[in-house]
Amino acid sequence: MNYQTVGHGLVKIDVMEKVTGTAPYVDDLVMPGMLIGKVLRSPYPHAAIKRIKIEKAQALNGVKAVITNQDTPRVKWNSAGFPPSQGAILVEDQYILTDRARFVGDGVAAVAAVDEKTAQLALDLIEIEYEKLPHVLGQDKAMEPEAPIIHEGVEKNIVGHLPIVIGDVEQGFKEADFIFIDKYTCQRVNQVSIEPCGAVVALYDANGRLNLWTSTQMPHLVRRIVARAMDMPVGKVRLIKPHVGGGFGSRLGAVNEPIAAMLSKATGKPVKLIYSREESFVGSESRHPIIMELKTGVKKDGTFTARQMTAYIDAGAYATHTPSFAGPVGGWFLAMYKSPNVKYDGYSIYTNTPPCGAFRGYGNPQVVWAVESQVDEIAERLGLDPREIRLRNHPCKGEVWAWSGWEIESCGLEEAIERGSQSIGWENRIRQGSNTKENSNQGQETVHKVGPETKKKGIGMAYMMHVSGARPMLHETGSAFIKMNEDGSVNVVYSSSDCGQGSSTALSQIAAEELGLPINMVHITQFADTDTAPFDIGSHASRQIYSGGNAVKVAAGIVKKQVLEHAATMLEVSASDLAIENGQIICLQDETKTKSVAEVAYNALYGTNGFEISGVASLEPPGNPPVYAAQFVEVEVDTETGIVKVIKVAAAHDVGTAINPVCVEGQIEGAVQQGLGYALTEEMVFDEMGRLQNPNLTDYKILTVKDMPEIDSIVVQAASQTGPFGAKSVGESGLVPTAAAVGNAIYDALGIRIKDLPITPEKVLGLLKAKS
Amino acid sequence: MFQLAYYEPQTLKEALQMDGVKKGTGKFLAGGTDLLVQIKRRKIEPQELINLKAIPELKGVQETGDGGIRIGAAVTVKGIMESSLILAGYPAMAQAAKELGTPQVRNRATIGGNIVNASPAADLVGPLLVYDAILLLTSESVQRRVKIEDFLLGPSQTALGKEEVLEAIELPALPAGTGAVYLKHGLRKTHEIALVGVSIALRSDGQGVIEDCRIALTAVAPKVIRAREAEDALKGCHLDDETLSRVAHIAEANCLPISDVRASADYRRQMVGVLTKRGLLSLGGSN
Repeated sequence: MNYQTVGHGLVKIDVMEKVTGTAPYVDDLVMPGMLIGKVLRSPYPHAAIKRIKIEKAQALNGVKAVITNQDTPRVKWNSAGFPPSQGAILVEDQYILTDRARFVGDGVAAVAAVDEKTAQLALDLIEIEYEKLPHVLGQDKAMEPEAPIIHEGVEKNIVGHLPIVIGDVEQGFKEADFIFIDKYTCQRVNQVSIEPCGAVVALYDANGRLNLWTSTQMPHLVRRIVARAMDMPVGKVRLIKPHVGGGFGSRLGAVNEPIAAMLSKATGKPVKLIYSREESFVGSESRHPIIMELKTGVKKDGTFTARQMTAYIDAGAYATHTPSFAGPVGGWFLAMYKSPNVKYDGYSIYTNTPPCGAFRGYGNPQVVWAVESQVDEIAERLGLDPREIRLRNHPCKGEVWAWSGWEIESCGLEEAIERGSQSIGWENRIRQGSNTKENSNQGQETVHKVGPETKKKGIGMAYMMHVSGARPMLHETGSAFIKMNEDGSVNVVYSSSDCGQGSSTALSQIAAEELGLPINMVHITQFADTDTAPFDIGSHASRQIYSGGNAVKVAAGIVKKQVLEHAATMLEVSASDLAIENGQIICLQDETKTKSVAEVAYNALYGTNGFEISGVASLEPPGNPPVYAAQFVEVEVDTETGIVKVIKVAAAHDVGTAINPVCVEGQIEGAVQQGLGYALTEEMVFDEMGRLQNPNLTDYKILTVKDMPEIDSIVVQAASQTGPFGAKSVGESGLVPTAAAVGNAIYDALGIRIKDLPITPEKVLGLLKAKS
Repeated sequence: MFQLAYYEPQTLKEALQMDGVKKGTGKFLAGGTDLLVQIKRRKIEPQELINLKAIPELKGVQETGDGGIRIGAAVTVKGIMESSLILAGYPAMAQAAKELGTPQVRNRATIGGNIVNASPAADLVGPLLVYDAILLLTSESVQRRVKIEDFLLGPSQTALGKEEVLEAIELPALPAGTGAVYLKHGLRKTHEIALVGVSIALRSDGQGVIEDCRIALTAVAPKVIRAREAEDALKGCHLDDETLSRVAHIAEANCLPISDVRASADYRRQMVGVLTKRGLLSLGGSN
């Protein structure tokens, strides 16, 4: 299809503000009389607060409020951002500030003071008598009978068990020629958005309304959560979202908004509460470590007879997302390969660590790491090309996708595998087998020889499927309101957050395309305000373009219809004879009958029986078409140091129609950076007392620009049938298969398979030593 | 919380007469890349900060006239990295500077701070050890010269007197034919604190026999250390495979690494061997 705006790599609409540093973020906001908030955190992983004395802190000059658990509303709440839905299992197990610390960093008190220094000093003056309790780290240990109980009444610390059964796996294993049993694990990682997570200004105003300026991915749902935590009506809360410096799931729910709200309520002043980098590591939610036990039955031809996974998910100290999250974990597992018999058990387990929550991919990076590593082994044992076993077993267009239960609208996996293979040079890959590959780099650049044969190259691949939204697991209401100004330009009022991913640009392109307007006549909200923007469940589940784009397109269609009808009256023709092209009304029958959209909009507003041309759409998206990706990775491993150098990543992603191909490539490249860090270097490390050892960017190792390999972002466009202009999604998927592809490339290079992320040099050397 | 007074003396004399120096309640500030972090984390709580950056004696890299050079203690890491005298005469120093931290840190951090902070992982210290650096320590009444090896006592511990400031670093002239290298090991290519660093200065005769050798090991002991047994084992040898692997093993035995969040002691020890071997190999042809 030829589109005027859609499919073009237009410059992001917010680029000037961002590159000139003028785009306002929460921390830039200053209000008259504003106070600074600070949170006092538990130094112990598990401790009851016996006594807490705040008098000295209160007496300090400049301190305006000191609050503790005793001041919090007597409602337990859950911070995770979900619309009430069948798939949302929301265990309410926390207070805004706790009277029993369950992890190092758990908030036990907060202060508001005239400046940061005073607030910090006030924290020092709060006297707390703790009774230390036994603690437990690691979800496997937390399930043991003798483990300390973290929440009363939750036996073995298992806060959720989600089983899924399809067919009969025992029968399936009987029918298998081979059975593979493996255990894979993965570490906790942090989103590390450039704007640290936890940034809010709260103002409890004289009218009794709570106003929140907060860096969030979901204005309406966080408004609802805060209302619940504060025990006040939703309508009394107004939430405004300025620019957001990266989300990646970390802002998928309330973070510190309720604390700031309490401090503002106590003082009647605006209170700014901004977490430092160190605080945001423990004060917001990270990606779940999961222990995954896999059992897979396979026929000689590579088809699966039974697939089984038991997942032990480390929830951290509070439930938040985890019991619900166990659902998608099962969904990713069961839906990525066809098998008549599937069994899944997902256990959500409390530990004395910071809570885990949403992080780009929402369980899929963990599942794909395990499944795609094992499938690589299966392919090798069966003597199949790793690409072939994927092509043989993936669900395809026209088949029912088990994640949603709906028919798959389009599938670009074959093209993705073909183009990815070409890019990485798959045909030159020498099958590793169980032997050591001595020299596979003929025809490629010469290996820098330090010692004899110290560096080995390898190529691996992995595949994934992902969603374009949250249906049917969640109710997915999304809305857009579009109104036309007298110059013919439109305001698109849309509440969900562009967190930097470029969704506001792509949504503007969808509006411009549908309306026949040039892009510079579309103005989309950057600051979303729940008092004025229609309801939307937020920026997550890779849903902004498919679901949000659908709402924008429907609203634009309503506006377009009004434009044409009013133009028809003005031109005395039938509306069905009119079209809009580049801001101009065209009459298909009579070239002389023309008006600019501006003239029509002006006439509507200021003519007889004036009205504003406008349209609102509020609806659930029509489906949830899956996307596919195949990533190919070439590595060079230093066998003396264990360092894995990634030479190239060919990331082939079927995204449906790419509304803005440059933004799509940006999404893939950024995600690959996170995926490589997940594979190789990133890990939140806790000591035996549950203290995070590396809450800083020196020791929490996200890859730098100098570490990044060549990335070939290959955009495959198998258009969906129901998405706006055929769009599907790309938001999360770029990091989902990366770790498995890296692991498989290392196997190709060295013949060793590491089953616990991250793949550190020490693990590489350990397995190499064991092998020899 | 504490009150912090800030001073910016214009001369060394003025700086050394400050109350904070006399009473021991002050801290000298140069780049601040370690000091301010320590203050922020409340590991130290000085009452005065005395900024040294305006003092002329602490600036610049000059030739000393006897073939060596003098580096002012407040020269930035970026200054070290780009100094033509250092690049030409002491390339391992320039290399270590280039690998220290990030561009933002290198623009601020100073060589003096890197030494006085006395981190076992300080990048510049290994090369200073193998170049036999002399530190010029100045107090109001006395000036003394101390070998860097004698200056460093342990983590955050040095021989710097209470009323002294590190004024400059002197690097002596090197015998002709000396080659040197700094190899830093980390997970990333930049923004790393060394897991292990190996510095080597090596001189061989025309036939490839090692005449002199110095090896310093970074981040594998309470301070940056010389691997003297490894050095001795090299003297009089050719750089053949047997020697390389023997010396690498001795170097491994010479260190006392710890396990921490960055790496295990075993891995650090193993990397000492690998880096020593690689460093020697890279210098193999530099006689």
